[in-house]
Formats: sequence, C-alpha cells, structure tokens
Amino acid sequence: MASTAIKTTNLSREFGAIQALNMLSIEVPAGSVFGFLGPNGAGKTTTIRLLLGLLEPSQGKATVLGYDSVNQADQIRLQSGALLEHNGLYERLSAENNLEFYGRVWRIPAAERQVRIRELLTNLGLWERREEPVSNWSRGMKQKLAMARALFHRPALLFLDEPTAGLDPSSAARLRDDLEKLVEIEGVTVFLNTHNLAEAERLCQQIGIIRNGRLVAKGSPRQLRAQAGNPQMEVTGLGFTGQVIRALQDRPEVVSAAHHNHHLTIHLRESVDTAPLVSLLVNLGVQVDEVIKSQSSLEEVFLSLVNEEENSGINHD
Amino acid sequence: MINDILSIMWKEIRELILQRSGLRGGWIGLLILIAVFGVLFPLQSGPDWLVTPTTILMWAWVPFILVNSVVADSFAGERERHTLETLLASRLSDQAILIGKFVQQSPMVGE
Repeated sequence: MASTAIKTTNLSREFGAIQALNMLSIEVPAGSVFGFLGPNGAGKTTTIRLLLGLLEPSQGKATVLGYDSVNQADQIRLQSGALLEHNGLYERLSAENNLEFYGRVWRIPAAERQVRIRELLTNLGLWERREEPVSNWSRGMKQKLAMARALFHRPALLFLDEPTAGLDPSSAARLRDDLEKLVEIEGVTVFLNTHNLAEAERLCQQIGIIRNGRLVAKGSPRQLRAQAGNPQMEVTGLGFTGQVIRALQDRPEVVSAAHHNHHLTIHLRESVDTAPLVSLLVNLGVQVDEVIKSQSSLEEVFLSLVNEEENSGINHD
Repeated sequence: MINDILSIMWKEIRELILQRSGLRGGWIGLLILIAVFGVLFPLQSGPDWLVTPTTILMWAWVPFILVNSVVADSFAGERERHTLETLLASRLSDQAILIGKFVQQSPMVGE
C-alpha cells in the first residue's frame, strides 16, 4: 500500500452555482485516522463521495490508495469500506441477510462469511436479534450494523460519515475502542467525518476543519489547539478588584484579564510559569480558592475558526 | 461479473419474498394483463388476434417494457430508501447491478 493513503490537490466540486468544495488539498498518511470537522453543509460528505469516485470533481485531483478517483474508482472501492450519510441497510431484510448480501458482494467464501457474521454481530451485541427485520431496530442498532457491514471485508481504508451518530454513549465508546484497535492492529486508514469534537480529539492523528467548502485549518489536535489559542489561567476566589485587573494587565506575560463573579480568566502570552502571578494575586489581597491552567479545547478552536471564517465571509459581502 | 449479478439477484429475491404487498401487486398486475391481452383483445379482434404481425410484435414488446419499468422502479426504490449509494460505493459495477436486477425481474414478469 502507498505510504500516503489519500492525497487531494485543489479538489473542487460545484453543484450549479453552489461551490460545495473549494480547492481542498490534504494528505492522509496510511494507517492513520484523519478527522474531517465542519458544520452541516460544509462539504464533508461531498469530499467522501469524491474520494470514492461516486462524484467527479469539477477541478483538481484526488489519489486514493495510489489510484486516481476518476479513472480507477473501482480499484478504490474494491479496497475501501464506507459508512455513508445514510446507513444504506435493506430494512426488510434481517441483519444476517444484510451482511450475507454484502459478504457475497465482497466475494467472501460461504464458510468464512458465516464466521465473520457471527463474530461481528456478537461483538456489537446484535447476535440475538440477527433474524429480525432491520426495520424493527433502533437507529443506534442500525448504525452498529452498518458499521459491521463497512468492516465486513477488512478494508484497507474506511470512510466513516458520522459513525457514532445515534449511538448511546457506551456503544459509541465501544465503537471508538474498536476503531482504535483496528487502526493499531490491522493498519487501517480511517477518514472520519464527525461533529463530535471529543471523538475527533481522541481518535484522530490529523484533523482538517472545513467551512463552506474551504479547508480553514489542518494539523494534529495539539497543533490546532496551540495555533488557535494561548494557554489561559482560571482563578476562583474573592477580591478581584479593578486594581488587581490593572496590575495583571501590566504584566508582560498577560494578554488580557477579566473577571466575572468569583472567577478570573487570565489569557497568557505563552506557556509561562504561573506561580509569580498567583503570588501577585495573593499580595494584592485576593483570596485564592483554586487555580487551573489550561489550553484551548478543540471545541474552542473549532468554534473560533468557524466564526472567524463566518465573519470574514460577512466582511467580504 | 456473473457472481456479482447472482449476488444482486439473491438480494432482490429475498426482498421480494419479504415484500408481501409487492407480491400481491405483482399478481394483480398479472391478472390485469391476462384480462386485457388474453380475454378483452381476443374477444374484440377474433382469430386475427393470433395471426396478424402487429399483434405478434406487440406481444414481443410487452415483457420488455414491463421489465424495464419494474427495474426502473427498483432503482427508484433503492434511491428513496438510501441504499443505492452504499451499493454503488461497494465493489459492484453499475452494469452488474443493472443486469442483476434485469435478470431477476424477467422471469417474474414472464410469469
């Protein structure tokens, strides 16, 4: 397998006057989990469709597992598994028949098919209800079955579009564990579209943030956090007077300081030692209860990038 | 390719068996067809119905038109139920899906 699983260069797609994807250039190393974050309608699902060769780009190029997404899409699909926007299950068929059908599609020998169906349904806690029509199932159960279908033929590359949507927290956590294991043991590359920032932070080595079809940031969760926000210090206590705020703002390592009720938030210029600031607060008569030093969360990064992009869009208009 | 066609046929047959209303609709359609082409037209045309070239040509086209319409319906159904995209994202070629549906529907219509 190529060391780069996915590479796109200026990949773009228009639907009439709508620019669904605009000059997307990313590289996803083989054996990694790439998280694609963005609000609804940002272009995430269009990207998966383009990478699978279900849509042709208006401009640019994508190479997946070393194959061109336009001319060699059948080769890409041969080695990929996909859980798309809709679960794609045949509701009248049972879980067993749904998997049996896709097992036949992937040309898995009959004996191996039976073992794999049992293994997957047992792991996902669905074995007991394997003969029921899928239409009787809950959304979460259907999502698990769709996930099993995507993994059935042990693909080298998995495209997952919101895989944990509709799952209860324990099932979602188990699915994340399974994904982590899969990547570690079998070296599967995962392209994950998600709204769940905690999920992205936990699973993904690389993250791309997309807004209105444009990639607005790319990097590891750590890089993105560092890029978007300086560390901050949260102080809980009493005595946050105007004099205290002014004294803090005069310090070179402090970007800003603001208080609300019994909470003081200090934005720091860089990763500095906070002990002198705590001493200063105590010397100024502040009764300090608790001090927490933190980095921006991925959620804050995401919101700041998306809002920034939205505001720049408004300014352009 | 043959295996892919057989896989599609396997799925189509399973779905048809489980779709009771579909079977009922199929039987009703068949009865209407027999009533029109097997009873009404022969009664109106008499023996000419069996020997004129136009009739033979029409009989030859009827199954083809019916299969086409049933296959088109089947694709529309897959699209509505959001199963088509997942099917297209698998290793199956468009031709295998089309032929599989066509071959499976032909004997049903022929019935």
